[in-house]
Amino acid sequence: MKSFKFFLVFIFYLFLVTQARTEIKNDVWSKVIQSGINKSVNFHAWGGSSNINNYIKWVGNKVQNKYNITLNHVKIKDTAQAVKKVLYEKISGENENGSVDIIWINGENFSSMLKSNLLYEQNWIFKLPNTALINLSKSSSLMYDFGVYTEGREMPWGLSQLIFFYDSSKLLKPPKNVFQLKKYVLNNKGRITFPQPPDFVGTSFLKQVLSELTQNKSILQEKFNFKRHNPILAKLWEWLDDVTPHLWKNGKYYPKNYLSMSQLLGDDEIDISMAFNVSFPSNEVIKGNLPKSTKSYIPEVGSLSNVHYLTIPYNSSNPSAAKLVINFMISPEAQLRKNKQSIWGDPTVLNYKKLQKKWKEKFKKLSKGPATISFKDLDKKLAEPHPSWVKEIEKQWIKRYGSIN
Amino acid sequence: MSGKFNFYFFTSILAIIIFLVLCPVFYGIGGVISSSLGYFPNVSNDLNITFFKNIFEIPGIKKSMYLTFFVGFVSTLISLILSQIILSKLYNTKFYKYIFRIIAPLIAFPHVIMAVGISYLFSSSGLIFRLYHSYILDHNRPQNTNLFPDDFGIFLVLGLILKETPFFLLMSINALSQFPSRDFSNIGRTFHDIKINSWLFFIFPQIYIRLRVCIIIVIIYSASVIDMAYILAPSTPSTISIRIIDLFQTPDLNNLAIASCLSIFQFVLILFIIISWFLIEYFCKQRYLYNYYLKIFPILNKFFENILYLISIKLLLISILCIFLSIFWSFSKTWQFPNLIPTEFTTENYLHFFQYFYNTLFNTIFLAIIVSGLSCALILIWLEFTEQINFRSHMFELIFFIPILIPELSFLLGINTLFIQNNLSGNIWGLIWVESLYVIPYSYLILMPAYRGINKNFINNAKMYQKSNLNIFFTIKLSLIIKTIFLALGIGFIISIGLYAPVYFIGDNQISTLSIEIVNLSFSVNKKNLGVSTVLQMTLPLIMLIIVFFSNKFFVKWRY
Repeated sequence: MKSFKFFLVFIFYLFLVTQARTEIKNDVWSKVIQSGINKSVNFHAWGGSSNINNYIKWVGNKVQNKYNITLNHVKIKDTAQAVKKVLYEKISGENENGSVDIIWINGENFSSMLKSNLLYEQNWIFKLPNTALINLSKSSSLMYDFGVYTEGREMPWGLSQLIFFYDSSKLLKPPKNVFQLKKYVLNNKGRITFPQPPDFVGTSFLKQVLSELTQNKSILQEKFNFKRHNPILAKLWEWLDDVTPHLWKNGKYYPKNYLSMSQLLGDDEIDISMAFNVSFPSNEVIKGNLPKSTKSYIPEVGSLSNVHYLTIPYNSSNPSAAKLVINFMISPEAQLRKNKQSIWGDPTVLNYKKLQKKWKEKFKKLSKGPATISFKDLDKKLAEPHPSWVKEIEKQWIKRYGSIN
Repeated sequence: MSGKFNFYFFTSILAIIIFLVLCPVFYGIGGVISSSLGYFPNVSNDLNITFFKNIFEIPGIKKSMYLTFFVGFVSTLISLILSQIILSKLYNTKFYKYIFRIIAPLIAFPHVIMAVGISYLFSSSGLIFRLYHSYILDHNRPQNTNLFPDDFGIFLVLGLILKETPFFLLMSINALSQFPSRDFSNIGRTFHDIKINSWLFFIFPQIYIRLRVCIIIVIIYSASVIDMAYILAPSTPSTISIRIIDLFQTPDLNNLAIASCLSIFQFVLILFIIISWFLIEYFCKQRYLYNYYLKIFPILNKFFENILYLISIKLLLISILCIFLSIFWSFSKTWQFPNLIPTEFTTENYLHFFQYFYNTLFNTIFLAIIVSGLSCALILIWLEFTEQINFRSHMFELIFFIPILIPELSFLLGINTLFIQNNLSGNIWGLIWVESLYVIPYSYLILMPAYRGINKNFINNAKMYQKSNLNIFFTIKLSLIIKTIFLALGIGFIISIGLYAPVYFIGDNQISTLSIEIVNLSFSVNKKNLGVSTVLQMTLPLIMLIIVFFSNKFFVKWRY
């Protein structure tokens, strides 16, 4: 009997605790709302695409109505610029009123911010209510940014995958692996190129080739060790040695980024272009910059894929307001709009199973653009190599091919 | 008593103006030097010079050096030669008075426009190859050619020539009016029947001594140019300016230190170009060489002269073609290879541009107006106060030229570092301040002769009527030189529009202008938006020229 009483008390106690906990959680969030409203947020995000800029503008209008937050989109050319800004602020001892509140980030930039302690507190992402809709278990791929554990310091925002596209009226059978690609380059001189590393897409292309050339792909997930891993890179250089003299402009000049490369495809100077945005070719077709016969594909073994994130710097002047904005950006409403072909076409990070029924149906109804590949093809994914490889690949590429003419 | 007070008041204002001009330059140079030594407060305080060694380990740095030297030296030399050929041919003909009308807009257009035009013209899918494919080759795909951009920076040189030749022409015309050039020319004609030869022996030496400062400015500009080099220079590797910016963009303090070292190195390299230019000049001036000249130059016969002249006319045609290509692209809807003109025209591009870039356009105009007004006001204050304290020294006033005589990267990089550290980057007033430094020298050049040339009798008369200095300044002096003030405002506006580096480093991505946007767009997919922004970049100076022209007519009529 005594034990039963104890049991009852225990149950009651448990009930109280859980009740209190959820109350505390709500309480914490309402505090965030209280301190976040009526503020302004500086969102540093790459500003090179008008589609994305418009989408961010829409987010700005929404949070303005919802929380009276003014969202300033600082259109940067390269995410490194925002990282640099935070770093300089740290140098000058500006530890509280930083000018950067949110950064759109992933990969190397994130790992360098992590290394120099430039990020907001650990596990802040779990405190946002909409996090419940994303699968953020420790084993989820969303928690590993280029193989680096995120420590809950950045919020998944969207998914990207390297895709290739071409004009199907001129190129009938695109090369679907690096060996075919090499053959294609040797037979069609000057019709293939890639953006000049250290451009993000250009380096990604090199990583794609490296991944395809490497039998044991798990080795790429290790931290780069010159002695052990340089022989693996040697294969990449061997491939490039054969291919480079036959690239566009004989490998003496490269497009600056994937946008100018896509223009080259539109001008019919090259045969294949690439992007890290699945719906980019469709959007360009709609704008009239690429021919209507444009089609996209990914290599047989799959292509590099990664997650892009939103993060808050350690010295953000309005972390609460930044959290409110980020919470909105991962809401089903914002994610659905982002996913729409005509808006941006960036796949959602939300877990389909956790969505409410009405959102599930809306996500189902999304239509695809004319030049987008099927979801089935997109399942073929290659993991990004560890960020430490990036620096080495870029350094050696610049030395071998980027500075010799 | 009050005279003494006035003296101190005037001198302190003058000192403030000097401070305003020099402060950012020294502040920036200080920033570059401290970061080149690896000094970053709160992170590393120890100084070391190892970063200077690192610049020689950058892959391909030697090629970048040669490229910078080649571009700086050759583009200046060729522009100078071409300008003299054109002048020698047209001097004393009825076309002479029209030269100014043709080159004025060419000078007013920002440099980057020529760069965009050349890329429209010479790229593998550009107009030249479209012509080639439609009429010679029956082939409808662009060939893989290495023509543009080339390995040696020749297109960068071409782009610079298109802009610098008109500049030298203008400056030479100005110089011609400073000495009895007609007499010299007549004497020359009695000795040589070839125009170039008589020009070279009798008139050119007189022009040259008056052009020296312009030559230095052109060398510095062409060896350190950023926006044109982005579009026209080769990229494996590129010129030193571009490599500095590439290093500067990475979020790594070591790279920033190396970039600062490289910008100091660039400064030294440019000094080296200038010194070699003047060494060659010294060598060419040796008296014993004159006999050789007398033997060599007659080889330059009429045929040769005409060929050179044709080349310069062709260059003029290229620049006009460049301008028209931009206009075509801005109105095109679809313009696929190998069509010579767009298949569909539209004005949608403009609507689209205004919708998304109205901020950029607004910034450009706003900055240009404020900067030109401010520079004019400062120079007018300077001129008035120096007159009050009876101080006049042209040597001392060379201070105004310091900002344009120092390669821009050598101090803008430092200002940027210090601004970011003090949370001032992206500050519009900081940008206005730095932009003014580039406009002030020209305002001074234009206003100074007019202001100091005001007939003193007017002033003395006014003083007899007990008018105050302030009253005299506003009602008499300003109205006498109102024409020149408009010219100075117009030129200031035009220069401000074309500035790239100050906006890049001080605006720090938060303030964007047309010249920044053009370079960004030239990397991207949208040739139509690029066309629109280039056309706007041309229209603004033209509008300004027209306003200056009509305001002269309007104001001058009722003031006198």
